Amino acid sequence: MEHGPLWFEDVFRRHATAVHRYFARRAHPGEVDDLTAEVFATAWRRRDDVPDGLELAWLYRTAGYLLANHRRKARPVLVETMPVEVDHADPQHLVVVDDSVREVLGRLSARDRQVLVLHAWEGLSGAELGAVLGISKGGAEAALSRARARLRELWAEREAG
Amino acid sequence: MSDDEAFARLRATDPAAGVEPDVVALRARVTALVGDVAGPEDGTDLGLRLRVARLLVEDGAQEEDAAAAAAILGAGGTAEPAAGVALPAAAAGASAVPARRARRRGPARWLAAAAAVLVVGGVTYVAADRLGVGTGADAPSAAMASMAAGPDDVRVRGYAVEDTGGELGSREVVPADALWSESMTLRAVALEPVPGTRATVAALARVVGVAGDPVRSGTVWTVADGNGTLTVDGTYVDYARSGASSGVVSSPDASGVTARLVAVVGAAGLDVDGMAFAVDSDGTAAWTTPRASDRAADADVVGDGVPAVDSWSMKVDDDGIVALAGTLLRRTTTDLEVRAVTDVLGAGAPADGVTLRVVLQPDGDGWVPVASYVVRGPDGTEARPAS
Repeated sequence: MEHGPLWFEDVFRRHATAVHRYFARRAHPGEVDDLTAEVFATAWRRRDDVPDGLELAWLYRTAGYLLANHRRKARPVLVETMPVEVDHADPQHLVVVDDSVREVLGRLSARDRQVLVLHAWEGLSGAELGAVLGISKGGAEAALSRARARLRELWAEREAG
Repeated sequence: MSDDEAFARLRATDPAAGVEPDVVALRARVTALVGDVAGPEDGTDLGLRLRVARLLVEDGAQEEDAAAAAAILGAGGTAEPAAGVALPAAAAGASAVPARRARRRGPARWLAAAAAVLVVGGVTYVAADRLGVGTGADAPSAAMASMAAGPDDVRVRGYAVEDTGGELGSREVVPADALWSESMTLRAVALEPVPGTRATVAALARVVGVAGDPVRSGTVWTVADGNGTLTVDGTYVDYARSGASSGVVSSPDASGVTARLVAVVGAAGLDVDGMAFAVDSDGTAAWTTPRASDRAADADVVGDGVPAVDSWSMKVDDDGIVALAGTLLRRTTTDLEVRAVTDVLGAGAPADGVTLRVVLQPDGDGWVPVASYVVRGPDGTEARPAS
C-alpha cells in the first residue's frame, strides 16, 4: 500500500489511542499528547520506513525511542537525532497503583519488565512484540516466556515471604 | 499464585485502562508538527483532503471537529490549535497576512474555506473568503471548483434544515447506491448549533482574516478587530470589512472602478462578458443583468416549487471579494450541503468528480444566484440534482 495521506490517516485512526495509552502508562500526563503527536509526526516523516502489517509495532518502537530520549533530555527530540542506545530504566512501574505489582515489577530486570508490560498492557506478542523489541518472533516468544516465568517466581517469593 | 493469575494481576494494573484520548485534538497536534499531509494545495487533491476530514468527522469528535477538519482541509490555518500547541510559523504567517494569502490562494483554498463556511451556514449558502482579484491561472474561481465525489443518487433522510439556528444535530444519510451498502450517520460538523462551537467561529474568523476571540451574546457570536467584523448567528454568517462597501465598489474613478468590478466578478467565476456594468454618478459601480443565461442549464431551481432565493450579496474591498452570500433554494441548498459533505467524502466513490457551481438563474426581470452541482462519472456521464 502506498504510504500516502490516506495510509497515514488510517494508521492514525487505528493506532492513535494505543500510542496515546502507551505514553499514558509511561510519561507525565502533561506530556502524553505531545509525545503521541510526535510519534505520528515521525511516522509521517519516515513513512517509507514503516513496515506494512507492523505499523503499530513500529509506532511502539518509535515511541520507546522517543520516550527514552525525552526522559534523557527532558524535552521532545525527533527520532532522527536520537541516540542508538535506549535507556530501559523505565519508571513505568512507579505509576502502578497496585503495590504488590509495583514491587514485583521493580524486581524484574528492565528487559523482563519491558517484555511483560508490552504484552500485558499493549497486548503485543509474537511478531509484533519482536518488532518492538528488535528481535525475531521466536526470540520474542522466548523472551516473553522467560519473563512470565520470572514474574511467576517473584510472585511466589513475595507470597512466601 | 499461578502464572495466569500473576499476569492477570499485572494486566489489571494497566494505568491507561479506560484512557480515551481526544483523537481530534491529537490529530491537530500532528498537523501542527508536519503540516497538512494531504499534500500541496493545488486543487487536485481536495477530495483527498475532504476524505481526511471525514475520518475525523466519522470518529464522532466533539467541539473541535470543525477546526480540526478545517486544518486538514487546508483552510489557511483555520484550526484552533490545541492548548499549548502553536501553529507552525507558516500557518501563523498566513493568518497574519490574509491579503497576501488570498492572492496566492487557488480554487482549492476557496472551496476549502467555503466548505467550512457552508456547513455552518445551514440553509444559507455562504462562501466567505478573501478571494484575491486576479486573472488567468492565479484567478480563483468562486463559482466553480471540482472535487472527488461519490455517487449521485443518495437519498437523504432526516429533518429539514431550518434557518432558525436551532438544534441541528446530525443527519442520517442512506445511500441508495449499492456501493454504500450500509447507512451511516454523518456528523455534519458544521450543522452543529453554532452558539456551541467557539472553535468553529474562530475558524471562520481565521478564514476571513479577522483576529480576536469570539464573543458570544445570546445566540450570536461576534469576532471583530480593526479590519472587520464577523457575525455568526445560527445559520447565518456575515462578514463585513471595515471601510469596505457592501456589494458595490465606490470610487470617483469610473473607469477604474469598473475595471475593478469586472475583475472581482470575473474572479468569482462569473462570465463578465455576459454582464453589464454601470457606474453611477457617485462613483458606485454595480454588476447587473447578464445578457446570456446558458448557465441556467445547470441550475436546479425547481426545488419544491418555492422560489426561496431572497438575498444575494457580494462584498468587495481593495483586496477583492471578501464575501459571497446568497440564501438559496432550500432544497437545493440542503442537497448541496449534504452532497458536499457526503458525496465528496464518500468512500469508494466511482465518480470522477463533482463540480459545484453558483449560477445565475432568470427570475422574472431579474437574476438570482442558485447553487448546483454536476457529478461526473468515470464513463463520462454527468448527473445533476433531481428536482
